[in-house]
Amino acid sequence: MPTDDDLTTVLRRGFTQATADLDPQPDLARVVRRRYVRARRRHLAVGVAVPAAALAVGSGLALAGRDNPNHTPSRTAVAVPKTAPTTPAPVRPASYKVVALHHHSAPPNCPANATAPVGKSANPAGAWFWTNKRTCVFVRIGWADTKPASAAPVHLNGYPGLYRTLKNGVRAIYAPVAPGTDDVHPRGGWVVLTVSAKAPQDKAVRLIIVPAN
Amino acid sequence: MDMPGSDFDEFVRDCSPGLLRTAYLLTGDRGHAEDVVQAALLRVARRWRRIRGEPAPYARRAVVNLAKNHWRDRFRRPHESTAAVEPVYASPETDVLLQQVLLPAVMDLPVRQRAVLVLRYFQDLSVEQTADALGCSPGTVKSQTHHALTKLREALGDPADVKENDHAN
Repeated sequence: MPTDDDLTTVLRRGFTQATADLDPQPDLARVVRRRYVRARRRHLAVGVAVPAAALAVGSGLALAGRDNPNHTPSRTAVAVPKTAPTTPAPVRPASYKVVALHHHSAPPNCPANATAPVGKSANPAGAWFWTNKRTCVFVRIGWADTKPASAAPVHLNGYPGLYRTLKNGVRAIYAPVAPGTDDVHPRGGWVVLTVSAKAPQDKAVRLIIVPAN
Repeated sequence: MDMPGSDFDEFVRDCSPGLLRTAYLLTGDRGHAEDVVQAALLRVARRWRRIRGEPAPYARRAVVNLAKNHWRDRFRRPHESTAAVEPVYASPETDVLLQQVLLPAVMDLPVRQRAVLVLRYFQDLSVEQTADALGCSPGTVKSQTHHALTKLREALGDPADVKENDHAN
């Protein structure tokens, strides 16, 4: 049986190998700050809404008990100022297209003797690329008219409007295509990149799609 | 709740790679690991003034707790059907033993035992620091480590395979 030292040595190596390609998004601090600001706004909104609701309940109780001669209203109704609804500034929707890739290999997997960092296959439609650690990743490129309702937004610098889903270790990334920007799909839709969840998805996105507007 | 200053950005830049890798080893999924790290850093940002002196242990504890929650929630959600697409993911330098035997065996461990191994042998924390991160006693850390290594030893089987594979690389 291997000793604990043998085992932990292999374990350390395994952990290091398994996480070698993992790097956080470069703008992580900014993303956290943005979430922090949103959370603080929600916190402040609740701080205003809860006392206002309490006042409304108090005034309701005061009205309910007004016919009782012994009833003394504990609070008086207070008019809660309404804020005017704000109209968001018009934002041009993000739209993307797949980059023109050259055929470097017919099979869908990465050829062992490939010299190019990225190539494409016709069947299944997709592209492969080498990571910095010489790991080959295949990305299937597909199309969807709509994205799933469960898709979550992806925060990738310079690539707004992306969404992603995860099923059994397979990541699907949805990039919007605006109507009129794609000849095959004039009504617009979504380019779908399907890739292993272990693969560097940000690299896959940056290599395969580019903003169209 | 004041906005953390530039020292927070510096902390994120220095610590996020380690936190992300730890979260990945605990959850087994890159997307979930990113979510866990963001949520943990958000907790750090909320308490930045109070923990400014020593934010790393707090962040590490948040990552471990959130990853444990993720792991528990995994079994409450309905099972999703297998996707038709199975992407090719092969490495010329793949260590077959590590990728196909050891790491899956680590992922099969109970979440607490996995956390103990990751914190001790990936983050290189002491028994006491690991106990602090997991909110348990040092004795529990030692026993969990022992149980985890025993299970891994069983999964690995013949030690000769380990040695042979080590030399092959």
